Amino acid sequence: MLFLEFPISGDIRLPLLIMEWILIITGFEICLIFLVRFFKQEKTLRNLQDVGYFSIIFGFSLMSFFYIIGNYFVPDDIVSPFLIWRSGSARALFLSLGYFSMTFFTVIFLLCIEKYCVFLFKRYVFTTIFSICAILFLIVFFIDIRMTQPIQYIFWISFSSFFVIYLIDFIKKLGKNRIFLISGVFLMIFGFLLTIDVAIVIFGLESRMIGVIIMLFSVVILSYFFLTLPPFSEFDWQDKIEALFLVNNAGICLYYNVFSERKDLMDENLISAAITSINIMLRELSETGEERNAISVLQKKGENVIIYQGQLVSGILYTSEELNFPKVLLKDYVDKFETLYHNILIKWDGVSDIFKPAEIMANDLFRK
Amino acid sequence: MLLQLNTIQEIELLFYLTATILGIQLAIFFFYRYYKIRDERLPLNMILLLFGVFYLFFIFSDFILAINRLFILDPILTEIIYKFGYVSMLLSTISLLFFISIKEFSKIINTKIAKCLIIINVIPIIVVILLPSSELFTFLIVTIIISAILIYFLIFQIKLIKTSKGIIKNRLLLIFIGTDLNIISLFFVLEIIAEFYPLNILIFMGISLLMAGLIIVLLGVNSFPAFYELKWKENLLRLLIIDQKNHASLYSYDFSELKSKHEDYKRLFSGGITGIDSILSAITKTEGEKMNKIKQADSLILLEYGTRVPLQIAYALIVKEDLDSNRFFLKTIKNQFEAFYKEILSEVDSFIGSEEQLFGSFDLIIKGLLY
Repeated sequence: MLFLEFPISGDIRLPLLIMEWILIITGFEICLIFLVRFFKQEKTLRNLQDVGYFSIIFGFSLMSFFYIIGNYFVPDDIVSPFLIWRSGSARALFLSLGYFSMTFFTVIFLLCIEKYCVFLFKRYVFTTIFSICAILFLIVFFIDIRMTQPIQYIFWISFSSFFVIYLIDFIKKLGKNRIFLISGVFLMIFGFLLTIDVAIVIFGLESRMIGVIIMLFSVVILSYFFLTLPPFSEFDWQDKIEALFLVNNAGICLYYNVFSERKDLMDENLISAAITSINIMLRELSETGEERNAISVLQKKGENVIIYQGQLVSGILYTSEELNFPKVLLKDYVDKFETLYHNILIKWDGVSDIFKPAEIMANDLFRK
Repeated sequence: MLLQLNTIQEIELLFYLTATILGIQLAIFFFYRYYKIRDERLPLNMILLLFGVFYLFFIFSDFILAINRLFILDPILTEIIYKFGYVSMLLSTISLLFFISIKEFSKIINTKIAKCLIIINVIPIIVVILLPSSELFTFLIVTIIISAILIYFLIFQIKLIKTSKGIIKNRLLLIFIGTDLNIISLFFVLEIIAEFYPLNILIFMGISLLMAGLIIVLLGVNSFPAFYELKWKENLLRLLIIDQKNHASLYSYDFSELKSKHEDYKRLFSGGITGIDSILSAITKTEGEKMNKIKQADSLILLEYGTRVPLQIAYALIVKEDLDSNRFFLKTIKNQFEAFYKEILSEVDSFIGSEEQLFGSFDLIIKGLLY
């Protein structure tokens, strides 16, 4: 039983409201950064993980926004009947809207994360579980508006189990900056626990205030951490790069580099000719009619061939998995190569020594 | 004595808080952008510093006036805080006028008016300090003088936008539109106007306008490029990048239609610069020190040297006048060239004879820097 009256009143109401509002503003700003980052990337190279981070922070901010309305601005009195329900309160309605927004955006987050990673035994396991939870939540929401909170507890316990798996996987792959993640997550959990009803009953509203301040710090730390991180699914992308070829429009190999010792490839000239043929076929097959600056991915079991066709040169990258990040790098590499050697490529005399610096560029970009 | 707020007032406070957070972030962002290029001493980059100051005063005044209206009941304290708010608002316009009074802008507007307006702006500050803020006279003086400043500022904006080109034009347009919206938002919350209309509606309209303006300015200041002096491009004649070790020209670019007197101009220039530097070092006993400027008749050669050891690359920019923007432009060229060709430069000796072909693509970067 919660011995706390809503809307929150007393001396602490205004400072608490201000702090919670600042947390929301910060959250909205940070989620916008992720969204802008996503849209700034080229269409074919966009990574949905940024949308995932946007969703989780946006969902959290939206939930906090509904909490503010529910906790500060509407009455908690049970009314019978209440809108479409047999009974309910305005506060319960806004809290439920908060729970639902968090649930909905968490499902989007999971969908974006599980697109690139397999957790447990199958892809989209957690997305499926949480989608079912969201549907259950909706059913309960329409039956009894006051029963949504217990469902939310089940949801959060399940999410925590996902989060633990995600975190362990994540921390294993991180270097020195894992301290930011660990401290950020710890502060977030600790802060959040201080804001829940049980903590408020024990420690009073002051604990909520401290919790919000801690969460504010944690949001800033975690956002800094995620903004400076390459996509999670592609942490070890360098291990998956096998070979790189640069072929001109006539099908002649200008430069090649085999990164993986295990890689057994045929003669580079044969590969160049084959890729040129594939390019011609793809161009013919393409319904969009786009010929240049397009990325194609040819996929077979355990083997991926990424082709980026520039104006004068095509770049071919062999990878052991289909990854997004190397596509970005391949495009950058070919674009830079073309700009650097533009004049030479137009009237190339067949001497490939001039392309020697391409090796330094390739090693800088693709080697560990 | 603090007042208990009703729901509408609390929401108003939250709106103000949002605008204040955005405004402070904006001011910090302006300062940060200025700090990043402050060493280059480009006078027009003062726009970043002075707009930062403007927003700091502006947001402070807006917030303090809101706090006063919402919380303070004591009439004496109210009056003091109002004075602080209005003075801060008037100081914010002074920072805008300081920006316009930069010598460089005399090419597009009479900057003496800006200097006069700075002095005239002191009048409402004195009026606000000495007279009660609720007096109609105070309101009139403040409104008339601020309106005059705004009209002048608007004329300046139009002229500056017309003179600017490329990215800087788009960015300035956003900054000016946002700033104008912010200034207009001030009129919504003036106490005297509020007496004739329902205050809440006006305040929410004002804050919405303020937030929209701040977001537009934020878009403008994001990746704001270095602001070169006006008409700096007309001042450029030729660029040469020289390999001093091999006395060879790696790259050259003609900004004007200027034709060389000699066919072998580039080779002559490359050897000449290295020779002059050696002789000068010997006669002035300044070995180890590099020459950075040569003045010859009606043109000037600005020199920068590469940082990549053991390469000896010199960057020479021939210009008509010595402008800070040109020096900054040359430094930017140096950084871009070294970054772009970093792999090739380490093996430059093995490409003797193919320099023109190899480095010819730098034209694209130069064109990118010019527009």
